[in-house]
Amino acid sequence: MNAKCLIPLCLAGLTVGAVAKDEGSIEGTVQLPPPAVERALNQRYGANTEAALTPSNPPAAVIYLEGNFTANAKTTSRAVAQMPQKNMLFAPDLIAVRTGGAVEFPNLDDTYHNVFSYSKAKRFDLGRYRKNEKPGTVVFDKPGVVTVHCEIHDRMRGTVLVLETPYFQKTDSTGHYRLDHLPVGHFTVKAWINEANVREHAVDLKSGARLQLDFPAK
Amino acid sequence: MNPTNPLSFRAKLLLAMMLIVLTITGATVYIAENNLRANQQRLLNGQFQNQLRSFLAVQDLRSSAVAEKCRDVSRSVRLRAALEEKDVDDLYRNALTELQGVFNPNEPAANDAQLSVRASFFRFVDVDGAVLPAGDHPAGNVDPRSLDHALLPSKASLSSRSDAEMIQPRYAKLS
Repeated sequence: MNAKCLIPLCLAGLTVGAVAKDEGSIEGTVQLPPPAVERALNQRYGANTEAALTPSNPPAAVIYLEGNFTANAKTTSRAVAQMPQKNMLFAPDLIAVRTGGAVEFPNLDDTYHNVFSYSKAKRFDLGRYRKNEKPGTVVFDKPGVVTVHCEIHDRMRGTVLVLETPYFQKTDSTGHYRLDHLPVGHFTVKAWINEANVREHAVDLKSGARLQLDFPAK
Repeated sequence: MNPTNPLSFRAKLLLAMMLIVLTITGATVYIAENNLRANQQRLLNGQFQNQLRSFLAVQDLRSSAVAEKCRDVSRSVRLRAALEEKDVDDLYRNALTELQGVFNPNEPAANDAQLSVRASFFRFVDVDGAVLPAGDHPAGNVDPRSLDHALLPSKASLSSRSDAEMIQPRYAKLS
């Protein structure tokens, strides 16, 4: 490698180093509610009640950073998120996307599903489709909570949390989370468990800071 | 024989026997009439009860299609989704689709047994029993005051029910 190549590489290294210095991270645990109780399947369309029913999705929360971000805020990838239907459940039943993000709802069951939402943030109806049929992707262009249902199976219920912030993460089943590459400044960190249960903390993120922030039950 | 007594012994005996026969006959007729009246009353009561029972059974049978449809509608995922969003407009729009076949606002409620039973109006009520307005949706016409009056007995029971429960259909007179 000659000297001409080394100079740009060194400059790139300096830039990365500077960005990393102006970044903070937050990690912690959200105390999650106990798993939901199973409900009976709707018999309306003669659904296959003998289908294996797995336990419902473990509880989870979405952690996100709220505030005024500068123009060079993190740009999240525009990869299409997925909320598949498996064993008569939305699995996962909670996903978070950034405003303008797209979500696919593939059917992995051997029965029909009909995913729809009447939520004000996004109203759509994918109609009935089978395992190998590909319904269109849904673009969520307004922030808010979008509750999705399956018309055929009343037990199925999912939530798409559409956020304006690029800084968010879903907790694991134990409630643990870690938000990296956060900008410095004064922000609010929110833990969204459900519409009636949103916990928040104000944080002052300094350059290179690593904060520990837990969200105990209210 | 005493010529001064105008009634002879034979005449007195005859009179006495006639009185006795008359008394016994009167009593027998009275008792028989009473028995007959009681039997007739029992028979009529029995017939009335049978007719009432069969009338109610026919009425229940005829309205069971509507009741079953209402039960289905109360379980509808789309209606529940609209309820969750507190979107009354969507609620009525979906109900119009769900109630196809049992609801026809242009057909008066059928009283003739030969005619199929169709609902001539429908309304949703909130948890306090207050009627949710149908807005511009063709949910049938009904006098709001009559409906409120007819719903009064249901209001108390509504608050004590779970969300998935449907109140048994009952008949209310709407003027």
